Amino acid sequence: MTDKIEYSPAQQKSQNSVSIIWIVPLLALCIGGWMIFQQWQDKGVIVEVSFESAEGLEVGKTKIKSRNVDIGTLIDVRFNDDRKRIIASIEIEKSMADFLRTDSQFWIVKPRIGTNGISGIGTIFSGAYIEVYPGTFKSTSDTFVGLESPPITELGASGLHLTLYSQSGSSLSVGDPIIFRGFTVGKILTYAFDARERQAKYDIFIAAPYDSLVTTNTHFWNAGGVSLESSAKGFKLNIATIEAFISGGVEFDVPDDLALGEAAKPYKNYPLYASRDDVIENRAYQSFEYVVLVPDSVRGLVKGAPVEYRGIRVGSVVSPYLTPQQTHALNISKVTDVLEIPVLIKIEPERLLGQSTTVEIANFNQDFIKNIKTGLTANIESANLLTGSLLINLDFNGDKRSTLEKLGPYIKIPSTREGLAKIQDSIEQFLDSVNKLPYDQIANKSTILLSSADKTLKSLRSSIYSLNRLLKDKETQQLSRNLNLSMLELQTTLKGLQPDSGAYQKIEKTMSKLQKTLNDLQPMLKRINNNPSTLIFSSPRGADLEPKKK
Amino acid sequence: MSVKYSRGSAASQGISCCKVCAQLNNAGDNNCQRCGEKIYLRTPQSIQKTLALLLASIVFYIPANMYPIMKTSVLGDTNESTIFSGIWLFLDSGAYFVAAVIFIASIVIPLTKMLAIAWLCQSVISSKPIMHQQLTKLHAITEFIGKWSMVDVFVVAILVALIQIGNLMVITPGLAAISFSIVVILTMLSAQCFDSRLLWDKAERK
Repeated sequence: MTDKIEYSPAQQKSQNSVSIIWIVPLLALCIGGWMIFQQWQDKGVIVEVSFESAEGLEVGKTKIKSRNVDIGTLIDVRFNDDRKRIIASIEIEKSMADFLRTDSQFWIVKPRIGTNGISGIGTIFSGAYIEVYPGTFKSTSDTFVGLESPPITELGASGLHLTLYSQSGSSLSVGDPIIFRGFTVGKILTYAFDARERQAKYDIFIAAPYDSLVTTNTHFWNAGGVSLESSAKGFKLNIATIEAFISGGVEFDVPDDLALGEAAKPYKNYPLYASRDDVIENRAYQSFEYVVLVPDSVRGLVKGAPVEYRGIRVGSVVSPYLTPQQTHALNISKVTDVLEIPVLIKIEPERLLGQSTTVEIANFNQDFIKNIKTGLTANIESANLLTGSLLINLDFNGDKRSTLEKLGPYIKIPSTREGLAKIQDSIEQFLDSVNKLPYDQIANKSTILLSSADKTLKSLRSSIYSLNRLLKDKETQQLSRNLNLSMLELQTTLKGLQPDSGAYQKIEKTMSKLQKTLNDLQPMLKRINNNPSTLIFSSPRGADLEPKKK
Repeated sequence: MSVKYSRGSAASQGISCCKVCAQLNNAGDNNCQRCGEKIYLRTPQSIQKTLALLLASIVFYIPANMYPIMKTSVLGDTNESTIFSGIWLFLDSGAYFVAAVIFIASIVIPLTKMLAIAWLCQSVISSKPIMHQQLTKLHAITEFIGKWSMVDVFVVAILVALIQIGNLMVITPGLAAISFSIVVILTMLSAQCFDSRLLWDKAERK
């Protein structure tokens, strides 16, 4: 039988005792609590960034990235109070809250095509995202104003910030390159027109290590576009690099005649010259002003026209004429001088000396004044016959000694008419020689020539006449008629030989008969060829052929 | 025996039924004659266990709905979806049937189950008379229906296993998937812990 199993007696347990199972909900609470705590802790920092447009933004999907690392998500997009901008609420991961400095920059990355290249191609597939450049400030913020285009330079990038100002509105825009000898070393950050100063201002950034290229003596000029200049040197067409040609740009360098100077300080102002030549021509030099009284027309003499000493540039024209008040201030005493036009010029010693100290420049000026005493004179010369521009040339006029004459605040440089007179003289000489040409002789000789030509033509005419007569002669005409008849006879002869004529047919018949005969003869000829003896002996008969089993 | 047990019940006649093999044993026995399983007239601390597990499941139900159940990355674009957002997504795209299935499987069933268990426990604890027949039926239904909530978990599990196409598309399970499966398991255990015989005892006290 079956074994009786021993069972222990029933043990009564109190129904009211607390079961161990309660650990399960406690554990659940702990885990649940931990989960919620974790989520709360993971919950990022919510900040608001305003943009002009929410193009490409998708709530819940658009990521916030910095250097392609996801640091947050867009959680809401709404309008601001005046509905002119949108406010994007974004959640930045807690560990990335460091990105939210007051000066952090936000912008939407989407495909862009511009003069600076194509960017954001990746976003065609992945959708736009918001890029953040972390700021450098200590303070943090929770509201930001987003940029509409990517910033040109990274915040906190080491380099040099400078301000350029320019009187002429040139076609520079944000992002245009700053070029040093063909290398792009920086970019234009912002541009604005200063209404009060009436000049354009450009904030530029030159990235390290190229910032050391900028010194106190550095000059900036506009490298963009095409410029056509007509100057004393003729026409000049300037085209910078292709990049700068398309989008504009700024070049800089230290002019050859200047020392490098000290390193530039940040946020300093520099003038922006129109061109490289403009730097050389119109740079700010220390100068001394003189006045020249010009007896001739000053048409073609402009402000900035060169003042040269035997072709070497030493200064510029300050003003090609003076206003009546200014002229009056000169206190011109000589009666002969009153009618002359005072031209204000400046001598710039640095053009010759290079960079020099004030003492050196003052010394130069002293020498210059001495030279005026020993006969240095000024005269107006044509700089460019094509454009009619003039320049003022300084030269020593023989041994003339003149005393120094002061007109108002300026020292007068004596003038001569030499330059223009030369031109006038040469023109006169030319006209004289034209005048002196022996017109009578020429006329006589041509008459003789014409009469002999007439004779020649007459004899030619008689020759043609005799030729004509020969052609009209009856014999000559008969000759051609005979020729014609012969040709006709030849034609009839040839007709007799045509396919439908009897002679032709006869020839054909004979030919075909001959061919037949030849065909008949062929086997016999073959046999004779194989066995020439058959001509004499009859051929032997071969054995009869018997059908054989194969 | 005492009046504790309802008339007509096995307990009142000194017999206890084995829950495993349904062998009738003497009420005094500790173990089943046939299979040796421990037998009780009434499962000890049944209500406590049921309530404890129920509570645990409720706790896990919160993260199950709060956290994303599934992360879908298509071409590097990661999308997290919770149970609710999934339902909204299907509703928006017009797939009402799928939306209804998910809604029923992951929201209606677990909630009704929890309510049902809570109601069963409450009716046992309270001194008010109960409709024991209906409640017994409810308990049976609760036990049966519980496993169907796993549909959600299976869907996620299958999708995760199937869709792993490198950078093109990857689906990974979220924290909610684990929480939700814990909820389903806990409610099933909870329903099992409930001793339906307690309902009969209450019926007698009418």
